Formats: sequence, C-alpha cells, structure tokens
Amino acid sequence: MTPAPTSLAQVVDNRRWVRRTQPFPHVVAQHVFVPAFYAELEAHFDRIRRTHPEAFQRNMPGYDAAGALLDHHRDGPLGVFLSRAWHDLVAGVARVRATGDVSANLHHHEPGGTSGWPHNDLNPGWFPEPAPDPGEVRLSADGDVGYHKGNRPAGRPARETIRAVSVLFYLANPPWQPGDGGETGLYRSPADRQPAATVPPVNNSLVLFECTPYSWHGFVGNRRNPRSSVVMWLHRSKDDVVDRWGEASIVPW
Amino acid sequence: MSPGEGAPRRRVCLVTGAGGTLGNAFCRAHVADFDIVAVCRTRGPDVPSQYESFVDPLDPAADLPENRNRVFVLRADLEAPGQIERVVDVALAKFGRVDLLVNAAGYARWPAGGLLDAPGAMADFDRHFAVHVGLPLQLAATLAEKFWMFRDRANARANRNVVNVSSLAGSRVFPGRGQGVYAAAKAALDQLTRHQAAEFAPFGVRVNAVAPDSFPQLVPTERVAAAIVELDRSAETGTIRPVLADAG
Repeated sequence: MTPAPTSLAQVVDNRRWVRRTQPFPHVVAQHVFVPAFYAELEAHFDRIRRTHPEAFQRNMPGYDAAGALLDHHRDGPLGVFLSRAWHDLVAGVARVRATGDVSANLHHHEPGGTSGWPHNDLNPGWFPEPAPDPGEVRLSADGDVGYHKGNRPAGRPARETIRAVSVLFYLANPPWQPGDGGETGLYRSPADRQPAATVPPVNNSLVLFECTPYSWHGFVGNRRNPRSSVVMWLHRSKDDVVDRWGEASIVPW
Repeated sequence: MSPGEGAPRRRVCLVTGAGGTLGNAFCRAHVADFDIVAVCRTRGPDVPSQYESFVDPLDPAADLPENRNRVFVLRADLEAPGQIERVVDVALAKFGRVDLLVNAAGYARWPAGGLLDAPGAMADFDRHFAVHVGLPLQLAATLAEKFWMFRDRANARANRNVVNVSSLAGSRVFPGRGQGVYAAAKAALDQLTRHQAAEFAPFGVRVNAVAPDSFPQLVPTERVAAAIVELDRSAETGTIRPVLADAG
C-alpha cells in the first residue's frame, strides 16, 4: 500500500483555495489533490469500507452517519490527513494556533440520510500526555484516554483540548448535482431552518473552518446518493478558548 | 506622491445578474479593468470580493495577485420594493459615481406548449417583462435621477453609458416552442434601448445593447463580455449589437 506522501507540495493540486466570510469564515477548495493521489485516497477508502465494514457503525447520536476512526489506517494514503504537514497546512489556512492533536474519522451517509441539526463543533477533545512535539501529531488512539470525556485508567495523565478547526474532505462519491442533497449546510444561527450557504460533496473538494461559538453547520439530507467524507479536527488549548469566548462557550458532550 | 496618485482612475461599473453565466464571466474577465459593483440575488460571482478571497494552502500568508482586484458584491432582489433605489444609493456611496451600467439580470422559462398554451405562456409573462424590460428601465432611470441627469459635461467626458443585455431571440425566430414570451420581452428591451438612447442623449449618457446568440453553447460567454466592453469604449448610442456564433 502506498504510504502517505512526505511532502504536500507533491500532492496538493489547487493552490488557490477560496476564503469566504459568509455566513461565518470558512475555506472551500476543489481539486485539492493531484488526480493520481486522489485516486489512491479513494482506493484506500473503498478498501477500508470493504475489509472493515464493522468499523462503519452508525454510532453518532442524532447524526445519521456511520463513522470509522482513521487512526488505525494511518499507514496508507489516507494517513496524509494525520500528518503534521497537513495539520500545519490546515492551521495556517485557518489562521489558528493548534496543538498538534488530531481527531479524524471516515464518515459515510447512506442515501436518505436525514438532515443534522446546526452545531458549532466547539467541543472538548482529550488526548494523552505528553503534548506532541512541533514535528508530530497526537491522535486519540495514541493512548487509552477517551476522546470525549477523558475517561482513562487512574493516574494516567491527559490533556483537555478544544476543537479548533473542522475539516470535511469529500471522496468516493457519485457525481453530484443540485437536488441530490448531501451538502454541508452553513447557518447564521442554530435556529435557522435553511442554511445561508451550502458546500456540495464534490469529490476531491473540502470545506474547513475555525470552530467558534458561531460556526453553525450541519449535514443536509442526502436524497439520492450516499455521501462519504473524511471529517477531522485540529485542537487548541482550553485556555485559548476560555480567554477568547469564555468557558461557557465550550459545548460539553 | 501618495499611493495611486497619478494613476488613471478606474471606471466604475454596476452590473446586475453578476452571479449568472454572463455576469460571472464579465466579472472574471474585467475585475482588473473596472471597480465593479456586482449585484446578485443569491449566488455571487466567482472572483475575489469583500466576501471572498483566494489563499494559497502551501503559503497562506502570501499576497496573491488575484486578491488585489476585488468586486464589491451587493446582494439584492431587484424585483423587491425599494431594492433598485438601495442598489443605486449603495453604489454611489461606495464609489461616488457609475460610469457603466450593465443590465445582465435575466429570467427564462419556456413553456412546453409554446404560444398555443396561453395559460402556460402567461404564467411567467409578467416576470419576463419585469426582469428584461422593467428592471433595465428602472435602474437606468434611477441612476439618471440620482447622479447622471445634471452632469452632462462630466458624463460626456467620462463616456458614461448603459449596456442592456438583450438576445438574438429578440429579432429572430428560432426553432422549438416556448421562446415566444422571452423573445418578445427581449424585442421590447431592444426598443427600450433605442428610446433610452434618445432620452439620455441630452445629458450625455449613451445606451446600447448586446444581442448574443446562445451562450455559452454557440458563442463563448467571454466574447459577449468583451462586446459589452467594446460598447463601453465606443461612441455609439442606440445600437443593438449582435454577437454571433462563428460561421462554421
């Protein structure tokens, strides 16, 4: 199996991603990777779905998707999303000082998936000590620390971080056209029924945004086709979030 | 010398339908030539604006040349009450003048039964004429009232003008049913253009139209955008300029 690339300059295709401010700051990009590497990502994704169907369990309350932790597949092309180079690229584009802690999943929505509710992703994420060095990333699978609530054996040191940047990369989907659904909806308010903007699940494209109290987003029901994606988060220190928006802004699990 | 001093002043262009096929092509091709007020109802043009810019993922701090020229996106439903006045007010407040008005907002619904299906043809009758005739009339008149009417010498010096986006369907009959009401609205726009040219001449504002064949199917959209700029740079008024497919 082809390993993750050592240099992103070799595989990043589009050098003009689009930074948008409405309804909240986010970045979209198509043709993210060169076609040959994108094909490897798609093949890797299909292989995981085929060989580990049990990993895609519908296990997210209120969210009509099946998810598989990417941590166990870091040795193949999809490992690019767990590399320090990708972490730093995303942090740079989002203009966020991130900790090097990464959580990443493969998501799959079967056709007919219902729309999710607008949420902002400003949630905690627990990681084992020690903090990663500048050249490495720390994954939730790197120790026996529960990502959501920090559950761990007595005496095991752990760090509580907060999600800093959300990334959705779409892959292995049928061609998309208006009316198919399956977009990522971006909302002005959690009370809104209609998104102010949508990002369609076009293969080899992505949307990323800084997680703030106002980054309201949600899955738009997919009427016709399945939707598959890599969903990942970078993290920041809890102190950063408390200083900036107050502790009450953090959304507990 | 302060930055920009001595540099030629860029023309200010107000374009409607800026998120549509032609509006988008116009903004992409001419964002460096004009200060563009890009009026759109929902989808914006695919160019840097106050809402969008490019970033190089491998060098996110880089000053990209594409970001140096940005359109000013103005979201408005021009068919809603008060929106034309608002658009003109905002454009003048932002740039202090308008040198070129491009009426590119469009609407097309072709009833399958053609003109023999009167209920189907009438279903969108008012909207076709409102968008293709009413909006260009009101926008030009509002700009004239608020800015152009008492600046005849400045208008002539700046070669200020209006370009209405008509269609070859306004003067020809194409095969296939359903275009009748749309084509009639475009024919009315052609005649409106000629009358506007006559009425705007005393204060030095020219009015013309482009009448393209189907774009992008038969005519590259960029060529239609270029025809608009050619009319802007010309001395013509009252002209309906066809933009035809290459003779095969």
